[in-house]
Amino acid sequence: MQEEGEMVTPGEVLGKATELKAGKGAYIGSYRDTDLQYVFSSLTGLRRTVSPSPDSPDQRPTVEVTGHKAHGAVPEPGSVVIARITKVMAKTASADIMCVGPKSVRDKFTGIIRQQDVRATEIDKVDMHLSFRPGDIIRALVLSLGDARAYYLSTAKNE
Amino acid sequence: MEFVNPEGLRLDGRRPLEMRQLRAQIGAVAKADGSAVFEMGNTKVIAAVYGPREVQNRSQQINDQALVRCEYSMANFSTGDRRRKPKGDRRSTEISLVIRQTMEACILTHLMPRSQIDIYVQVLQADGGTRSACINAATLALADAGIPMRDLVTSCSAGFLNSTPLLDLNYVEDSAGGPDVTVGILPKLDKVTLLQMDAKLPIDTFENVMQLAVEGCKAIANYIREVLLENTKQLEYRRGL
Repeated sequence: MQEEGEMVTPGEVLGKATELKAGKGAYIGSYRDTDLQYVFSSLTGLRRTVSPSPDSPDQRPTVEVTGHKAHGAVPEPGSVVIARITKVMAKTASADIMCVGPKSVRDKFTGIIRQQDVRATEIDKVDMHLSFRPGDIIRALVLSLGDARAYYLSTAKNE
Repeated sequence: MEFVNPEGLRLDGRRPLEMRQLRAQIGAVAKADGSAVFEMGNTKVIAAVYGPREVQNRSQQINDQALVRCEYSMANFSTGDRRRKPKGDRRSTEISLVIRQTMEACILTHLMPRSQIDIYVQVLQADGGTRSACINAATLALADAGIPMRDLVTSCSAGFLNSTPLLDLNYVEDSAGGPDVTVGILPKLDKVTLLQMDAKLPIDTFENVMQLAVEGCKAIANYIREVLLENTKQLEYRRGL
């Protein structure tokens, strides 16, 4: 078995699946043509073993491989994003997401704020054109992954 | 024509079971997410990987895995006679497909649903074995991009000329018209992902030739691993400064 902090490349055996759990940068597969399940590395980087929390039922340590390439941040439901309004329509406004939490995004992500998600009270009396103008920088909460085109955003929370 | 002389040397001075010199460099294209240059003797290939990123053409989007695309091209100056080749001719379409299928077999595509990974490979110098060199370059570029893979894929060719199995054919040996077996393997998992031969060969000879190509693949895999580890060490070192 290899030691902690060692550099590994894709396909290297990190340990037996009965003794370890596969974290990020690792996967479980069968070794050659045997039925034995092993944990393999799927990235180039440093291996790290994380011991389980004492109250979890599964007491196997998790093995991870951390690569060097930092992938851009991706919005997910519940994250707070900074966005720029690009277009205001009668019932929706669209925005380009610029930051997820403290991190700026690398790829282009678009979001939509629907009329009912603009504010917490009197949601039926919202006038989109009085609420947003193109170019406005807003802080919004990601409600859901939305449709194929855009995330659904909300500015309705009272802060 | 004599491809192995009585002293047991090939046209370029190699022994029958000898491979050409390997050279690799990671990070050749600054704008790409991952890139590499791979050389096998006088064959030189550059590969760039973009992604995983949003699918450009929504009708191609796959809901439970990533879409892998590959484009192979040959630079006009890559061959002896400078020729303008039409983009998307039969040969390059076929090699694009071969590389795509080989890389798709090793990328953990289910981890990146609704996204796409683009692999661009271009031959800068062609001296036989471009197919193998492209696959090796693509592997390095994918590893550099940090795309999760089952294993490294490596590829190597072998042939059978003058009733001798030859490893890693160059252009002259390749165009001799003899059998040319290109093999791609997952070295640690010991699995074959690519096997191509467009000639007839008795089964026992074929097994010898294929075994030779597999040995070549393993040697390349060791070299690629070394290059990757060295590159990671360099990055660590720079981070430490």
